[in-house]
Amino acid sequence: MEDDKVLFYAGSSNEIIQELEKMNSGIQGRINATPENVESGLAKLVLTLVELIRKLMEKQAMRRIEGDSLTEDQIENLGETLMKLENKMDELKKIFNLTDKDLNLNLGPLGDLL
Amino acid sequence: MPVIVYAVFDSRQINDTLSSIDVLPSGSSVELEFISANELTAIVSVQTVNKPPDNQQEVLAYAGIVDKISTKYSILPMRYGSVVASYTDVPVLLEKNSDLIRNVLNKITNKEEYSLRILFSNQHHSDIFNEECVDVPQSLPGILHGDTETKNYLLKKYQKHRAEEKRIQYVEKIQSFVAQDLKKITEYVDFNKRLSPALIVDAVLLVERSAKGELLSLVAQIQSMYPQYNVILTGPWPPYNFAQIKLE
Repeated sequence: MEDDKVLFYAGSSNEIIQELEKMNSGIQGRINATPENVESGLAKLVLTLVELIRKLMEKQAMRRIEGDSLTEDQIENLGETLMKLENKMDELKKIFNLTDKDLNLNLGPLGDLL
Repeated sequence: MPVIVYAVFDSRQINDTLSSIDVLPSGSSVELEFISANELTAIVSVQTVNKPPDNQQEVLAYAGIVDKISTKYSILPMRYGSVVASYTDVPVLLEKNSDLIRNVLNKITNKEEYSLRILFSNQHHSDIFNEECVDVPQSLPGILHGDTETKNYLLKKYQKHRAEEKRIQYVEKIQSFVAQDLKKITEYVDFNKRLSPALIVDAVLLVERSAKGELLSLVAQIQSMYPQYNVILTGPWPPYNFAQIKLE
């Protein structure tokens, strides 16, 4: 960004630059599939969607806990299911050599998927 | 020969004679031309080289030209890639979309776009996050009391969820205060979805050219109200965010 476009800033300029760079790095985080890496690109896409659904399930579970609508048995089942799901996701991430940071997509003006 | 369209303006509002020298950034080799129809004028140049569409230098050069023009004149800025097949298509484009273009020009005339961002400082962000991660046991739902592996797992998840909820509420509260302040200067304020967790406010504003000083003092006021955050104001930019139309 041109200096004359910054009309006002306070605090550390380095910090601001770091944050703006972080935002830009998200834009490069789109899936870049080529014939050579299409398998891992596809795994990344599928696991990103699975992770999104897992996070939504987790969110819904928290809402139900807050709503105090679960019995002891249900809470045990819920905890076990979410725990197993998270462990399975960790296994799959290891298999495809992916990190949490990889399982995200930048949706432009809508922000990050996860 | 394809023609690149940079911007459109109301021919009636700009009486002085425009020339390429007037509006081009120094060192630019582009030759701008002006094509008018229906009291609208398009600023164009001939596309001489076929470069890949993601050529960053081309994009920056295009944006530079639009930016330079917009600092002097009220224009409807076009986006990179606005190309028509030939000169004769330009008047057709202007005539077909004149109502649409005129509506946007009325909205943006004598106004400029600014971007306002408020960021958590690294130190403050971690303070808030740590503070709010700690949830007193009494406030936990009764169903989570107990010492089983699954309950401990859910408890951690619940505490994280509560911390995130509190952080969102906190950020929304600040956003609404800032929105109230900005409304004193302009009715045109758009808040973007936060792209980074460190961003509290990411807004674009369309402000009267004459109100730039007022905006600067308001931003300084916001900074003094929230000394713990970093406030950054950039601009003026071409009014891209307030001139989004789909031309036929």
